[in-house]
Amino acid sequence: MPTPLYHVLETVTLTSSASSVTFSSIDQSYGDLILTVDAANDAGKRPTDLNFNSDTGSNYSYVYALGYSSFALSSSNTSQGRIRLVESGRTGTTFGTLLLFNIMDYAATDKHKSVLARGNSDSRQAVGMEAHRWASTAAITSLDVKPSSGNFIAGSTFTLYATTKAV
Amino acid sequence: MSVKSLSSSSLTNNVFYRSLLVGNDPFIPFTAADDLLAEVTLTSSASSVTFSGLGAYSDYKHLQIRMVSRSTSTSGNNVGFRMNGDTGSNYASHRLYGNGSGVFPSSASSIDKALYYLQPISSDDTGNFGSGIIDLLDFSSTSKTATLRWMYGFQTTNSHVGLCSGLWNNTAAVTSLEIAPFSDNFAIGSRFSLVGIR
Repeated sequence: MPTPLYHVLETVTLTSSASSVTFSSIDQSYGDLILTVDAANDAGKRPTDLNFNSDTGSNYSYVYALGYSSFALSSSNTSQGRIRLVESGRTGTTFGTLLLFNIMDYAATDKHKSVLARGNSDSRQAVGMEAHRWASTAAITSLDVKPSSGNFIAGSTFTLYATTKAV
Repeated sequence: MSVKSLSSSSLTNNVFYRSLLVGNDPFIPFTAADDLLAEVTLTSSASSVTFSGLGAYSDYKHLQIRMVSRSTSTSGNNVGFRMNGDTGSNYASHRLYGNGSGVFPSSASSIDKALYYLQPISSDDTGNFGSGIIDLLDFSSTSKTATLRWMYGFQTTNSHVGLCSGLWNNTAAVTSLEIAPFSDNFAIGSRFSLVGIR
């Protein structure tokens, strides 16, 4: 029986600058979370960070591949204190640099949480694909989004979607 | 998710855009158009997962698989895709991937499955599952060869993130899609969701 896939859990549009945006008390009845970020910050072209359940311990790891106008690179590492989408920052007040995080099986308690993310930075002529892992089997009940420094400016928009889960 | 036409492009207005959005609104998942059609979460390990009877979904333009998986063995990291049960050498694949040390392309043709999807193996941390989102485009068409495209990724001692495409060189409508490790099984807890995209 087909069931609508996407559900908007919450949209936040900042009316003033903020150092972070938190989605809390996340409904546990869905399959995946999808976070879209259309934001700029006041401290330059800074990466965008995510933390789950307020965990800032060294429990995150990543691999990414980035393409620039004349070269590409890849890096991976473990024991990070957050998920960091590298090429995701934008300055100024013209939005349109959309960041996309797919947070898979977020409510599962038998899996680490895997995240597929895509980012871009027009001013740095960069595009990136990233895979992240939060080495925890805890269900994700909250997530914090923040720039690596400075503040998100007013007008920045953050939307948290969830996908239907079969019952 | 919906397919959004571009109202602006460098080709049509001679403006150089640094963003892939070329002045259009950002992509936002369209909440009303896409449906969850079926879902399999393994309660015992399995050598493959097959979604069949896809002809019943011909009112959707495209199909998508959202999957979270790992292997039961140390050799089962490669996963392949087959359509309509065809095991002939009728597939081709391309990939752009990063493994932490570099970004590489690869390709293969005349192969018996679409490939270049990798997942964690049994020696990786317990609970470490990889994930991927696979689009099967225009699957009901009888005038186009079938095309898959996907993004996959996982973080282990052998980390990967990649963008890939797969071709089944046949114009038949796709009525079944098999997802299988090259060897061994998908582990318990692996999840496969079939989505219809209008």
